[in-house]
Amino acid sequence: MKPKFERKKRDKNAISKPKHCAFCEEKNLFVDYRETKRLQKFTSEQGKILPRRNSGVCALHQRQLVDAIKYARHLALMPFVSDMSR
Amino acid sequence: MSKKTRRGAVGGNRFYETVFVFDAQLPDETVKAVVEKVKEIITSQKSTITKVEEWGKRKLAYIIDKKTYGQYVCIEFEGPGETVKALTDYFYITEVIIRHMTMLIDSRLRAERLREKLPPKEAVAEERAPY
Repeated sequence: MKPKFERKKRDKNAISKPKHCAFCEEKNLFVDYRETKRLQKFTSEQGKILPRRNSGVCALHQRQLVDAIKYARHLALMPFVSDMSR
Repeated sequence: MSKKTRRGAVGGNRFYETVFVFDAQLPDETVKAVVEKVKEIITSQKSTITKVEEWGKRKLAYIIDKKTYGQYVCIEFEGPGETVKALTDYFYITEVIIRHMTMLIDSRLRAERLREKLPPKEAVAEERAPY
């Protein structure tokens, strides 16, 4: 008799990428809202903030990053919606 | 929340940073007058100004009140929280200022202080980091 639910088998040949936080490499760094060029790497083409699973940033720095992007948006240093999709 | 339990607060004083944006087409005299007035408000509230930065004219990321360019001024100061209220009250009254924001920078300054203590080897690596 077949089991009701079959568990998906993991692909043994798949290569797992090691995750590393882009901010943890530099010690004692605080994510600054003024470095907009750096922050833009963590937004999508539309201007949305990337989730942690895509950005690869650690939990501590993701929290700082989100605040920094929102500060920058309020001061019109970064767009809410990029010109591409407007 | 009492002042003692607040993180980074010594005697009720904390470090703040206020950024405000003017219309880029304004004459320099009015900008100077407003900046002087802001400095007056900060000092009158028993706070001390630590840094004044003028970022100059920049293109706004989106249009605000039909304006595409803005003039940024940033002032860092140390003092009690009542200063922030007095500042925001003034910012809302003045029509010349199109955007303003005041925020705590205690944790950023702490991180900067720690970074200065790092050995010089790592300081070289920071310069190479692509921004």
